[in-house]
Amino acid sequence: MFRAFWILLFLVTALACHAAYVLFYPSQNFNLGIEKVLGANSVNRFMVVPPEQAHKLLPVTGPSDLVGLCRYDLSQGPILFESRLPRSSWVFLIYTSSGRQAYTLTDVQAGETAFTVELGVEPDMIGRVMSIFTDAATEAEAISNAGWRVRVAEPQGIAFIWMPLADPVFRPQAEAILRSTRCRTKTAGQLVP
Amino acid sequence: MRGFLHLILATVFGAVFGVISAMAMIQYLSAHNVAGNAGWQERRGGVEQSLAPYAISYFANQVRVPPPSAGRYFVRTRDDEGNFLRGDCSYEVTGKPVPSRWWSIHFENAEGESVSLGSTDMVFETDGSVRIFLAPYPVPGNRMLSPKGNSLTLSYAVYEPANPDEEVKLPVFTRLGC
Repeated sequence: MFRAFWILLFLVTALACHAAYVLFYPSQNFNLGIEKVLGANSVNRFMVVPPEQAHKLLPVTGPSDLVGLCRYDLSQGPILFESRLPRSSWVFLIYTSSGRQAYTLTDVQAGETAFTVELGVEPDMIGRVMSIFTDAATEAEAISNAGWRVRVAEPQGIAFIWMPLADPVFRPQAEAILRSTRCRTKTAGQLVP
Repeated sequence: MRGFLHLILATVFGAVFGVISAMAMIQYLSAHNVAGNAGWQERRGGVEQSLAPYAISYFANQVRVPPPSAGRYFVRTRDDEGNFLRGDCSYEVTGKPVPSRWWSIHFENAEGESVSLGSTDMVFETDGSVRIFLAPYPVPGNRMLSPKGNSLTLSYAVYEPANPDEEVKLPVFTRLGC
C-alpha cells in the first residue's frame, strides 16, 4: 500500500516537472533571453535589427533580408502597429511569449504597403459574455476602421516584419522607409486610421 | 524517519525523471527525418501538430521563435558519411532548390556564429540547380566560410513552398575533405 503511494508520488512529481519544463520554462527563458538581446527599454518600440541578430531570433531569415521587430506588452492596453513598407515582398508575423505564431499577414494578402494592425488581448469568459451586450458599439467601431484587429491569448510577445530583398543594394532605401513604422500603445478612444 | 526519506527520494527522483524526459522529448520529438533525404531532418513549429509544445520549446529554449507555419525548416548535423559537421572540413551542397517564394541556407556553430546565403545572393547553374561550397578557405562560386567548431549545423529554410504537402527533394550534401 505504502509502496503504491510512493510510486504514485514519483509519477505525479515527474509529470508536473515534465509539464513545467515543456510548457512554462521555455517561455520564461525566451522572455528573459529576448530582454537580454534587445534591452529592457525595447518594449512597444519598433526597431530594425541587423541580419545576424534577426537570424538568431527568426531562423528562417537570410543574410540580405530586412527585419524589423516590436516586442509588445499589452498589459497597459492594445497597441497599434502602423507599418510603412517599400514596395516589395514582406511578411508580418506575430508570436506570443510562449513562441506560438498568432498571426500572419503577407504583401499578397494585404495588397498595400501601408497597413495598421491593432493588437489586443483576447477577452476572458466574462469579457466575452459582456461583449454580447456591447456588440453594437464594437461593430460600429470596427466598421469605421480600415486596419486589422488581432486578439492574442498572451499579453506579451514579439511581432516581426520580414522583407527578403531582391538585391542588397536596395537595403538603405528600404530600411529608411521601414524605420518609419510605429509600434505604440493605443490611446483611449483612438481609432485605427 | 524512513517515511520522510521515501518522501524526499520519490520527489527528487520524480523531478529529475520529469525534467530529463522533457529534455529528451524536446530534442527528439521536435524533429523528424525527411523521407528520401538521408541526413536531413525537418523542424516545424506549426500549431497544427500534436507535438507542437515540444517543437516550440526547442526554439524557445534557444531564444528563437519557430519557423512560420507557411515555411519549412530543414537541418542536418552530419555529413553523408555520418560524421558530425566540422569547421575545418570542406563540403559541397548540390541540387535544385525546393520551389518556393524564398529560401536561404545557414551554417552555424554551437555558439550561434553563422554564415548564410539567400536565394537572391545565389549564382545558379544553367539547369536551375545550385552548387554551394562550405569551406574554411576561399573557393570560386557560391561559398560559405565555415564557422569554427566541431559540432556545426546546416539549416535550409524555405518560405511558402509551391507544394507544401508534397515530399521534397533536398540538396545532396557531400564531404570533400578535412
